[in-house]
Order: sequence, then C-alpha cells, then structure tokens
Amino acid sequence: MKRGLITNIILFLLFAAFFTPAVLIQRRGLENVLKNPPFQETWLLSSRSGPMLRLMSLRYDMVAADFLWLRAIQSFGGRGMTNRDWKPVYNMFDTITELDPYFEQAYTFGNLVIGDEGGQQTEGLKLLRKGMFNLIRQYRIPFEGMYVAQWSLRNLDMARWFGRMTVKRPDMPDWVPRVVAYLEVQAGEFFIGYRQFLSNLLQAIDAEDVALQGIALNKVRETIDKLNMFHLMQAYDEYTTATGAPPGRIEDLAGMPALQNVEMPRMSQVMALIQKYARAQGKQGVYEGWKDGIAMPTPDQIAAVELVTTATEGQTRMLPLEGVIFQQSLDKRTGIPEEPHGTRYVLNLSKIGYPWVQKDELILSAAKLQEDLAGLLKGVRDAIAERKKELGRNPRDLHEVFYTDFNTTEPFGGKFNYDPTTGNFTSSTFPKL
Amino acid sequence: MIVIETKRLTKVYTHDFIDVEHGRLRFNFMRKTVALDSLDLEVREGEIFGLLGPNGAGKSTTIKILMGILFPSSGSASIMGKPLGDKSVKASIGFLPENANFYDYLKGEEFLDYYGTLYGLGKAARRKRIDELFELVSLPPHAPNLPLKGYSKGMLQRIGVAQALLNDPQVVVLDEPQSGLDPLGRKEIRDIILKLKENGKTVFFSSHILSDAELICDRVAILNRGKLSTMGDLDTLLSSTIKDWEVIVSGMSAESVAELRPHAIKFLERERDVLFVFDKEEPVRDTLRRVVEQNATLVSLSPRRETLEEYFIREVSKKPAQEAKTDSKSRSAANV
Amino acid sequence: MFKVLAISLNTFKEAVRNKVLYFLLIFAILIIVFSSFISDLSIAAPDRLIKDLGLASIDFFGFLIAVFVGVYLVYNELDKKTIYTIVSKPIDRYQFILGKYFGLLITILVNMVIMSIFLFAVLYWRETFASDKLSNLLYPEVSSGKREAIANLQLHYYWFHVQTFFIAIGKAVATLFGYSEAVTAGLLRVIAFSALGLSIITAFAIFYSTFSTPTLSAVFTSLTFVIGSLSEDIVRYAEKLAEKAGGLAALAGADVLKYNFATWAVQIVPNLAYFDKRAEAIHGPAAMEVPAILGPTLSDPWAVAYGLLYTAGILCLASLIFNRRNFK
Repeated sequence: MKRGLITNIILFLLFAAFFTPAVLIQRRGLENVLKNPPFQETWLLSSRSGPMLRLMSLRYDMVAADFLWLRAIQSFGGRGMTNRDWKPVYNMFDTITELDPYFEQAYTFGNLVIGDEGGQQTEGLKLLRKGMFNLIRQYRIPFEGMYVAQWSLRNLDMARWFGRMTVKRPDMPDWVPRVVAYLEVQAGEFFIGYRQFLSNLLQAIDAEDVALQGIALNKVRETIDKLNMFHLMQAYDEYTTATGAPPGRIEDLAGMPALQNVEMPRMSQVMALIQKYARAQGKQGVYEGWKDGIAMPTPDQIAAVELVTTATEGQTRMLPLEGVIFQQSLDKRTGIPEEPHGTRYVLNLSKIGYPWVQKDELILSAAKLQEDLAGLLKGVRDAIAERKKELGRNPRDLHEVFYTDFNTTEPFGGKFNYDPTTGNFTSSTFPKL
Repeated sequence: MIVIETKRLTKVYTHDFIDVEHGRLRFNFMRKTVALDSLDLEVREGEIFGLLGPNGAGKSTTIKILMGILFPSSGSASIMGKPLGDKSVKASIGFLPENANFYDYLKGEEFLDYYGTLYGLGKAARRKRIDELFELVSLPPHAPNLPLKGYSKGMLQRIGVAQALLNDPQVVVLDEPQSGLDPLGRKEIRDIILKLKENGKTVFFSSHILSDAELICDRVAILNRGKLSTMGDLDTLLSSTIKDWEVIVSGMSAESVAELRPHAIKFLERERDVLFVFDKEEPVRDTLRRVVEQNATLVSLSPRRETLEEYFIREVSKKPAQEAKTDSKSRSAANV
Repeated sequence: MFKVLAISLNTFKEAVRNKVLYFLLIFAILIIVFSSFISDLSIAAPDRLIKDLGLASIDFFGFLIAVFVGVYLVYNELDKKTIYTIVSKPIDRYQFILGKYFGLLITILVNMVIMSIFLFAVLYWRETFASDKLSNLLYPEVSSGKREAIANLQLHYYWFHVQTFFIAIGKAVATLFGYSEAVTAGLLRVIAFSALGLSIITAFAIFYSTFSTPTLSAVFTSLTFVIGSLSEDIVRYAEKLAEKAGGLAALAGADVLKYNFATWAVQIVPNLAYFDKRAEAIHGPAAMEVPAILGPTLSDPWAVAYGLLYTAGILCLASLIFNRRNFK
C-alpha cells in the first residue's frame, strides 16, 4: 500500500517534470506566432499543381477545391493583395478551377482578386476565359470579362467579343443584351444596337412597362442618331476633300455619295410602324408621355404603312413582329437624314473652320444647337451684366466687355446683335431666345 | 444398412509457400503432409460409432471431409448412400465441430433460431424445436436469453449439441464432444448420445477419451497417423475372457498369504488387508477356500477384462517400423 | 432465399457490434455537421460546401466501412471456425457468400442513410435561417408590435430554434422517401449512385477476403478503389503515351508494356466515375449538360445496369473461389 503510494507520487513528479517544460516550450511557440506574418503561402502554389492534385484527391476533387477555395478567401481576406505577388494567387485559383472546372465563383472571385485588386487584368481575363469555356451555359463569366475589357482595359474589341459570348448564354438576364448592344453601337455596329433596342422597345410595350419603354425609346433614338451622324460625317469628309472648303449649309452635303441611297432607319417611320401594328392588335402603342422630343410620323405616314398580314395574324404581342418592323424600317434614302428628335440636322457654323474642334461637334440637331446658342447667349449676357455693374451703365459695345473683338459666328448662320441703349444681346435667327 | 462409408479416403495438405511456424517465417517448397491415408470406414445405421486415435491421427480431418469442410485429395465417401456435399443429406445430418465457437453476440435462442433457418425450418417448427432442445440438453432456464458470450464451456458444448440436433437428424456427427468438459459434463453428453441411439439415430463421434467411448460405443475404429489401425465391434475387439482377478482379503493368516504369494502376478500388503492379482483361476479358488476356512473377510473380488485403453495403447505402439515410415513420408511427401 | 437473408441479418448483427463502425459513423457525422460552420467562412456558395463535403463523406466513409468492417466478416467466420457449422448445414457456399455480401451492404446502407439524414437536416436547418422571411418567421408577434411578445423575446428565440431543429429532422427523413426542396434536389440520386458504386467495392471486399488475410484484403480493396477512381485518368495517360511516341506503332520498349497495362487494367477494374454524380447535383444539370471534362459519360440506366452486372460478376467469382476452398 505504502509502496504503491510512493510509486504514484514519483510518477506524478515525473509527469510534472516532463510536462511542464513541454507546455512552456509550446507557449513560447504560440507567442512567436503573433510575431510572424499571418500567411505563408509557399505550399503547392509554385506552379500549376491542379492536374496532379486532382489525381491525388481521387474522385473527391471538389472537396479539395472547396478547401483551397476557403483558404484562398481567408488568405485574401487576411491582407488583400497588398504587398503580394499575384502569381501564387493566380496559381491558387488555377488549381481550384482545375480541381473543379465548374466552380463559377472561383473564376469570378479570382478575377476580382487578381484583376481588380492585383491590377493584373490580363491574368484575370485568362482565368475568366478558362471558366467561360468550362461553363458554357452561364452568362456570368463572359459578362465579367466584358466588364473588365471595357471598363478596366478600355479594349472595345475585346469587350465586344466577350459581349457576343455573353448573349449566347441561355441564363442571361434581359438587360445584358442592351449592354452588349451599347458596346456594339460604340464600335460602329449600329444595326446590331438598333435591332436590339427595337426589340427591347417592343418587349416593353408588351409588358406595359412605361419606364422600360422610355429607356428603350431613348436608346433607339440615340442609335439612329449615331448612325445618321456617321453618314453625315462621311459626307462632310467627302465634301471637304472635293471642294477644299467646309460646307456653308447642311444641304450642301446632300449630294455627297455617302448620302446616296443608304439604309437609314427614320425615327418617324419606326414610330409609324409601331403605332400601326399596335393599333392592329388593339393596343395603345408607345406611351403618350414619351412622345416629346421624338420625330413623330404624320398621319399620312402611318396610313402608308403596309401591314404584313402574315405577321399580324393572330398576334397579341409585339415582340414576334420585331423582325418585320426592323425590315420595314430599313428604307433606303438619299439626302440629309431625318433627325430623330423631331428637329433637323444643322451645321454648327460657329465651330467650323477651327482646327481644334472635334469633327463630331460640327453637325448636330437643331434642338441641340439651339441649346448651345442659348448657352452662348446667356454667357455673353452675364458678362455684359457684370461689366454694366462695374461701369454703372450699359457697355458701349462688346469690345468694352471682352477687351477684344467679339467675332464669334452665329451657329445658325445669322447674326448677333448688341443694342447699347437697352443692353440686349440677341441672335438674329432666334430673336426671342 | 451402411450410413457412412469411405473408400480409400486420402487427404494431403499442401503447405502455403510462406508459412509462420512456431513464430518463425518458413518457406516451403512443395511441402506436403499426409493427414489421412486410404481410409476405409463403415458406419451402420442405428449404432454409436467411435472414431478413436491419438492427437493428429486424422480424426478431425475425416469428419471435416465428411462434413464438406475439406475436400479429399483422393478416394471417396458417401453418407446415406449419396456422395458428399448433397444438400438433402446435409439436411438430415447434425454436426458439432471440435472446440466449437459460436457467435458470442447472439443470445442462445437467437443462435438456434439462426441455425434453424439455415436448416430451412419454418418459424413455428423452429420455435417448438428450440424449446425441446433446451430441455434435452438441460441448459439452465436463463440460457435462452443469455448471450453466448456469457455461457460457460459446458453450456457452450451443450448448445453446440443442441444446434446439431435442430433438424432432428438421422445421423449425428460429433467431433470430440467431451473435450474440455468436467466429469459431470462428460456424463451428460454420454447420456445424450445414448438417448439418441434409443431414438434410432446413428451417432458418429471422435474422441480421445477412451473410457467414455468404451462405455457407449457399439463399434469403434482406431486411427493412427492417418491410417486405419482397427475397426470392429467393441466386444470383439476386447477379448471376452477375463484377463486377471483382483482379490482383496483381510484377516488371513500370514502363512496362507505367504503360500499364495508366488501365484500372484501382483501382490500388495496393506495395513488392514492384502491385495492379490492372479492371472489364473486356480489360486483364486484357493484364496476363497482359505477365506472360508480361516473365517477371514473377503473385501473384494473382481475379475478384470482388458480395457479399451490398454487395447488402444497396444494397437498404437504395435507397429513402430510402419510409423517411422509414415513419419518420413510426412516430412517430404512430394511423391505421394 | 430465407437462408441468405438469415446470414445477411446475422452478418449485420455482427458488423453493428464492430466499434470501428461507430468511430467511422461519428466521424462522418461530425464532418457533415461541422461543414455547416466551415461553410460560413466561404463568401459565396456556402451550400455547395456543405453538400460537397457531406456527399463526399457519405461516399468515402461508406468505402471505409466496406474496407474496415467488410474484410473481417468472412475472416472471422474462418478464424472462429463458425464456418464449420455453417458449411455442414444444407446450404450452398454461394449462399453464404451472398449472405455475407448483403449483410455488409445492409450495414453500409444503414450508415449511409444515417449520414444522409444528418446532411439533409443540416441543409434544411440552414435553409430556414438563410430565408429572407426569417424575421417574419422568427418574430411574427414582435414585428406586429405586441408588448408581451417582445418581453418573451429570448424564450421565443430558443423555442424557434427547437422548432426549426425538429422540422429539419422531419424533412430530412421525408427526403429519404422522395420529398425534396430546392436545397436538397437531386441529392438522393447522388447518394443512391454512391451506394451502387459502393456495392461494387463491397463485392470486392468480400471477394478478396475469400482467399486472403484481412490486411491484404483491405490493401487490395483500397487499391481497387483507387484505380477504379482513376480509370479515366489512366485511359488518358495511355493515350498521352501513344501521342508522345507519335502513334501506337511508334511505341517502343517499356512504353508498350505500360500502354498495354494501362489500357487493359481499366477494362477489368470498375470505373467508379460512373457512380459519381456529385458534381452534377452541386453544379446543377445545366452546367453538366455538355460533354464534361470530368463528368460521367454513361446514362443512368446504363450505369445502374453496369453496377449490378459488375457486382453480380464479382460475387460469382468470389463464390467460385469459396466453393473450392478447404477450411483448415
């Protein structure tokens, strides 16, 4: 009994003697942990280890992907991309997506980390490209690629390529084609944009979604405007090459080859088509409130629209008519195109002849030019008012206001008039402006 | 009618190429051991047949071959006139292996029920039979609900016998049914075997406890080193004549004792009495006469026959030359 | 038939008493339950992680049970010599093998069912808390502004958890019988196919243990599992070998051996990829509709037929070997 007790005591003392230093050593190690940087990512990130890891994980590759994914998140959450080489991070995401090629979030998050955070947009796109071909039915990845290409890399062609990939994906939401169409219009593919926006407009009419109608209508108008401007600019170039001098009036351009017999949809015609088809289906058509600032058709024009009977028969929705309306709106026309806001195209004469002026500022809609003119008038009038305060009277002439000759040309080709007695400054084209 | 018959039954074990023997790794190349050498047996209906022999004589091998656990190397055997492995025959055989182990997690009743199913008995038949058997092998009343883990060695042996009798078999084969049991247990097994014989069953069992075998066997076969040494009726084998007489007397005069002593093959003078062993009848008569004359006391008089054990030892040690031959065969028997 | 069933049930009783089984089961359940907490670390697709880890656990621990429990089943009978009494009964040896096989299969299936219930319950439980209407569910009276309800907020909160727990368990059990919500859609199919794959591995475990020791059987079974999992990669490897050499005819030396071994080995070893439907269930059928890089290439009925035929074949082989076996 006594002997047993002594043995136990000795054993306990030995336990204490061994265990205490062990715990102390461990504690010291734990203290050191805090002094070290939190993450040491050297393991398996030195190269593309995905295929090997996939073999090693047997058929549990997705679990392996999950754990690497968690690690990637923790690692990124720990200190972002600060002070870090992007290559191991890229390898990590590459490995994850090698283990599980259908891991959508790994592609998008990887792109976010490497491209947006790490500044390696092209490497991020590489990841997205890989994902795009593995996940061929999801729009998300090519869409992000489009986003990165357009807004980070400013590479319109690449963005359009990603865009075209995006719109082929079946799960794409309906707003995606509008974004893609926008890019196409940017790149000069007006008809792709036009048709897309037209179909959106018809969809909105079907859905009786007023807000969407407004957006789509605006987009259609904008696209037609851009297309018209494109032709006008061509004509402008042809004119200046041929005559060696800028045109004096917009009508001068009408005879140029660029404006001969070209397909240019007219806003009024589009509206006429929509109204006519909508009426045929017993619908209101475009919302009344949106008709301001749009070239509206004349009643004759509406009457002249031929309903393609096979297309209208039995239809209660506008969207199936998209192709018909698109085709019917593409009439070949010669001369100055119709301005889709309901005004007309004019030359901005006050800018012509100045080499620093951008070419696309030279031609614009009358309404827009009128706004510009109003702005100009207001500026001058404010300056006159200021000067009047200083002088205590109306300035004698504009020279007294600007200390130089005021020789700006009136944009519409008229004249600026200054009346020293009343202090009024007006344009001869729009005296009441 | 012959129930079990073997003809030139031979079993040769081929050792594994790599074997662990006595805790040592051993490589064997074509190493073979003859366990059973041309055995011819006949067991008749309704008898108790004892298969006897020293350890390693081939008793278990014979039984295993008969039960389909081993396949013979050559020769053939039949049970109830049908070749080995016949399912209809198996259905009317009961078998208790040597040192039987059973599923120790099953309760006694579950265990018998399981084996009853293997015999293809219906649920009601099983129920009835199991109750009968618990009674027959006289297991304690708590046994049916006790897991086999809690069984004593004797109880296990008894439930082993019970499982062999589940199907009410015509032939019961018991391999060393009494090994490891105390005398009381051995007696119970003996009683069960006799009871089976009473019911007209054939019992075939192996044993190395010869005194027990002697008590119940009708016929025996003695195996030695894989060969049949003897087979026959127990009565025929053991000579029916009296081998010697053992006489114990007390109160006999020292003179008479001295006179009788030269005739005795064995003599022992004890405190109260005197023991003679005579191998002839003459001195026995003489002794009895002197007892009557001297008014001495006859403590006991027993004529002694040869026991199976003595016969067995005689048989087994009879052929040393042949044994040596068998031995060398077992060492390297590539030519067998 | 009843005899096979009796042997199966006895085998099941035996397997259930194996402590290893409980360690495996508890470990698997811990993984499934803790995957719920781990998934909170993920910024996206938390359900994916639970499902993935859970389904993989069910599959892998089923395999471990087949190995660590299965290889002992036949061996124990031989070792304890209970086989003596079994063989002397009027049954065929193949019936014994079938009984052992189905007993082990029942054990594995029961374990898979238990693990599945936990997986489903975790998913349903999380689903409740992920729902947008949680605040309405949780505090209907509170949002309606009843004063006593606010006083009992704590109690209400606990009560809600208890309720959710039991509802999740109930739904999980119902899922086994075909009930499903978005969060568990398709999982039952995955588990069923997992079981089919495991039925092959189980057959192998029994097959190997008819002629070798438990340790060797475990090694063989594991190797079969590994090679079976890599079948498709091995095929690709062989293809690559030929490609590297520039055509089959140009193969030389050891490469010929390697090529033949690789192409022939995969013919015999089961292709477990056919029974791996995890990726499909987790990514949704839409993602996997195209010819997959990793995915299975066998349609469901064919995969089922394949699994059953393969299992039957291996069991026949096992019976064949067992039939000729001497029990020392």
